[in-house]
Amino acid sequence: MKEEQLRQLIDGCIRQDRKSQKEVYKAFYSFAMHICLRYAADRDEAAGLANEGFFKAFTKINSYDVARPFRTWLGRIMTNVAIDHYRANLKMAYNEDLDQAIHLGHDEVASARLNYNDLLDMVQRLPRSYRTVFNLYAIDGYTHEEIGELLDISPGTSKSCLFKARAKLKQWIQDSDAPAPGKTYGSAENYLPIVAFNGAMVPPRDIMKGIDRNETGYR
Amino acid sequence: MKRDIDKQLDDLFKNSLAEPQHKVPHREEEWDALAQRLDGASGNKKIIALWWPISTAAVLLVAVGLWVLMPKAIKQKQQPQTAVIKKNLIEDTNDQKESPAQAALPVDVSNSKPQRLAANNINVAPRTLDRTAVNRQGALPSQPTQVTNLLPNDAAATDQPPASDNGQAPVGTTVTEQPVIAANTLPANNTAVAATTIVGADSMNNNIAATRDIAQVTAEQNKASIKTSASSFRPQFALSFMGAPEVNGLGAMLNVESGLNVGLLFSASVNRFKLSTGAAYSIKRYGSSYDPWGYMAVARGYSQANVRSGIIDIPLNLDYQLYSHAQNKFSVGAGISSYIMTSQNYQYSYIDPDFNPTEMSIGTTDRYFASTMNLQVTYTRQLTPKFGLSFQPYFKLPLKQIGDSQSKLQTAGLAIGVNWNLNTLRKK
Repeated sequence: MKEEQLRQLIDGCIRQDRKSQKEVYKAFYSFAMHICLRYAADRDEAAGLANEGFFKAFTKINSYDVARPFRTWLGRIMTNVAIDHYRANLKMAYNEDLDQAIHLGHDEVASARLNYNDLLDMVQRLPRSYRTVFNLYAIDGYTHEEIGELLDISPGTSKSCLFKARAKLKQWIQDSDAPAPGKTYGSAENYLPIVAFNGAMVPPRDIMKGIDRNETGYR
Repeated sequence: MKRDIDKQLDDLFKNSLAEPQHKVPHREEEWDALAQRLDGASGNKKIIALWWPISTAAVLLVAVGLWVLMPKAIKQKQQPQTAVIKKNLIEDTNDQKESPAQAALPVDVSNSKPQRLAANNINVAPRTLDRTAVNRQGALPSQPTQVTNLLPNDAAATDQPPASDNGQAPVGTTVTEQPVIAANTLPANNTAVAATTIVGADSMNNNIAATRDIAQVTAEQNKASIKTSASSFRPQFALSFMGAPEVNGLGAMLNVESGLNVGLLFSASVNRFKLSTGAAYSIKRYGSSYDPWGYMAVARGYSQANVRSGIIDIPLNLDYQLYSHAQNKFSVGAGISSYIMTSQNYQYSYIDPDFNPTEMSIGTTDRYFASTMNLQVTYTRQLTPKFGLSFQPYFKLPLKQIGDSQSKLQTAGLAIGVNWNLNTLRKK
């Protein structure tokens, strides 16, 4: 989208013009969803976060500084919405004890066969607190001190969550490199998504009965 | 080595997830849900814009209604004192004969009594006036005539010369020079008020001389001539501890839940006005259709959230006293409240009981300045000079959305309070 066109649409959003808002929504939906998908457990939750983020963006559009990139501003809103969502769900946070986490060897973790969907699935399978800390630190570039302030936790807790998140991810990557019977990660051709509904794992075959992969879009 | 592995892992996810190339297409139903929320947000602003005139009109209606419906005797007692001033222009004896003495009586007889005048601290100056007061029979008054002249200049008091200006009494009258009581306190340019009062000595016996013109002086003018006690402008400070059962709801208050409100208020009263502020902690429960998960919640059969919020209410109210008799007082008031929301708890129920989560708690503190408009009617019963009880039905109308659910919370309740006057207003 050209800068001038975007400026006109933002002006329309300031006037609460619904058509302009929809154009902005369509233009930045994918960008917003990619952020929310990393912080959410599944696509529906991510859609809810994106919906909330766009709502805040459209209702607070007057606070947007036109001298700065709209994309950055919107991305920050989405991240903040995800953080708010995490804080609002602290009681539900699934703090899995990973003290017994498998100590992995120092093998290389990069796997050429892991694509976006595989990695996203792994991140989404992380417990909420680990997922949030990993996203903020590894992908969005926050420090442990900043994460501590954002999530109302100590920097030490943030480091602990990051350590345990990495351990989980390493384990799953190793598993995907050596697929066992029933494991689907890494097999790009026969990939079936594992979707977590409320923490309960639904077998891929059941999921695929009612969902067309093309309709779900993002996969 | 381990750090390298960690960085390698981080980079793997960052490169893949931070800026993915493929697009995630939007869903029309998600946009529809968002557009509906946006419509609701803009619609609420229109409702708020209407609340101000509606609320103001409601308060005025209640105030006027109470005033009109109030018993007449009470109104008269509360009305400011009106001095009825008469100018006795004795022109002929026929008029005197046709003027019944009773008709010449002031409406507020007490104002014509010298005792009351003295009690009101009117400046009394002995004066000799060549005007006369005669009784109906033309006989010499048995008691001295009292003249209260509220004008600084006698000439300004009337457009007709007094009968005695030439020093001669009208035919048929008995002229006497009597000491008078005069109060020369009105401004000199206030010539519109015919302010010469000549009340014959017989007025004490309801035998007052004939009167032609009657003018009224308003209470303000009268008060201006009266040295008012300074104590009436002293503020009355008081503390009130109040507790209130209340109901809370959104929209048309169709789905209300009960709550509780306790607080401590400080007030300062001057004349009929009372300004009060303080803090009250309230636990508000209400039903909400808040959907924190957006589209996902719909898919999960989400139905209703029961919200329980802890709120510190900081009001600033102004009350006007409509009625005061003995120990009883009625007042109406309005004001604004700022909310500090200390906690929020949402209990969710789903059509499918297996769905989760069922609860969401938010411990962060949110502040909403001037978020609510207060309307209240207060009845106060003074038990002792220090202590009193108050009963206050109130209504709180939303000016802003509050909470994570962005709710337009309305509250109605009945506050019961104990008042403690910090100072007394006894005249020394």
